[in-house]
Amino acid sequence: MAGLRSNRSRQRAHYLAQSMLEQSHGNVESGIEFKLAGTSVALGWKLIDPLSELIAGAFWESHSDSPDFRIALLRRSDPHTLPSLEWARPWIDKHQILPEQISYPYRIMIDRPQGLIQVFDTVNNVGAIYIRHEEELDSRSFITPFRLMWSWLANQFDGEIVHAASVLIQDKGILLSGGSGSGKSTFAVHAASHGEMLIADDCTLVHNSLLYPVFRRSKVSQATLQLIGSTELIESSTAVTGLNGNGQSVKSIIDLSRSPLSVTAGVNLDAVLFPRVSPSLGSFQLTARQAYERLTSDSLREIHGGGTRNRLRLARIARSVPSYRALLPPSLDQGLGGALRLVTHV
Amino acid sequence: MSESVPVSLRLKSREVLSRERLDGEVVAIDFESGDYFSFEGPAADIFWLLEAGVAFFHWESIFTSHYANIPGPEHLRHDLLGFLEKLRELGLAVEGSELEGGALPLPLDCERGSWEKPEARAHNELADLLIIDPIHDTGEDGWPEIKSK
Repeated sequence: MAGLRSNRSRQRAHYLAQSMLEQSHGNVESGIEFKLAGTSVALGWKLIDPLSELIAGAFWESHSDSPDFRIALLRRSDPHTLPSLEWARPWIDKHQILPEQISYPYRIMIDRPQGLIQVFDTVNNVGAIYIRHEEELDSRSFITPFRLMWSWLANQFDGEIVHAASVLIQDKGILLSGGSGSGKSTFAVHAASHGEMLIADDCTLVHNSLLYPVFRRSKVSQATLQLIGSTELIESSTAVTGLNGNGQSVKSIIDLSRSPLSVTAGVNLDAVLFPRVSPSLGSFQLTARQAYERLTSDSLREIHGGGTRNRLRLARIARSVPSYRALLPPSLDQGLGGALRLVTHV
Repeated sequence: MSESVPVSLRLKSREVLSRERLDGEVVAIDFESGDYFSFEGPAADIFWLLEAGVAFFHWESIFTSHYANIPGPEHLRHDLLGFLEKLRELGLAVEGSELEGGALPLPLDCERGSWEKPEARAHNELADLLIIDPIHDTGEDGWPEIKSK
């Protein structure tokens, strides 16, 4: 009986994927193209509105005659008919990606809280994103939209999107990994305001030991801006509270495309820092195992546990370069100085 | 191929044997040993059929319809059972209930040519990172963490 249920779920999962792909790509009237490491992604939609403009502005736009990936948005306002999702309730309730044995060769995530369905066809490199109500989207989506989908794409060319900021300090490419509140973004933006180069904030793509930005925007809090004491990098001081205006904290947007050098060509990875705000400045080297555990616990959570290849790539990153715990004092200048001294020894 | 060959091997649970198929290649991590594996061609497809619980009785016709130059029934059965035994030796598959599922087509995610003897490629250079090691798991500060039982 279990096999029969599995077969039925497989048929329904495939029908959902095929239906979404067909309807979303049949609706495309506008869109952008952007780079994801050495590949190109065409992201299309029908409706031009504030949300699609915000999404478009999140990427480094580029042009390609034949994109490697084609992704289309399907919105509530677009004409569409979605099949029933009742069969997928076990995974929807647990907020899990549909298991491979049911969805393959598609990848499917039905995210009820966000009102998102993401589908990717791993054979034909096409995907679809259904947005139920834009008001339900977390405000983070305006800066790092559809994180899971880009991880699926990166997986196709053995790239890994790490929940990490990255900076080029004294010609050394540094990955700054850590959970929210660890100080990674604050440190990265502070370094950028003091002449170092910010490669990426929040999401860094690691491919062939090179660091690439995924998004061209960073979002910093007012408290961080006050700490940094610099507003030169700010693209817009417009408060971002989410389209639903639900009282989320006010953030300012930094446009990474203003970086003095193009970082989209990739920057060599030399070390991983795991910052942590601490009363005093200090650092100590971590074992590869410790680094791997930290990378997996932080980055895989963002992609609902990730897959086998995600774990292998994170293990290779942890094995390939030295990793350090960086204890950063509240004084950012002191923290930056300490990191600079650490980097010189990498 | 004889219908009387009972095959009751099952892949270990995904909690201890993480696996993922992409472009016809299966990559698997055994968290108990820290070893990881790559399977391509017939080996990856055997993984697929085991996962789906397809009865061994169907395997010959499935492979015959997807691969060229399939060997004779006895030779094919030797290849298949030999590989299943290899999976057991590697600790990737364990005894379970007999496979009884209906026939399923193989995924159309790669070009399939001539039949080749299925093989596993094992790697262990990342074993110290990938292995589940409750003793040396560490807390936020890098110090060994005492695990509650």
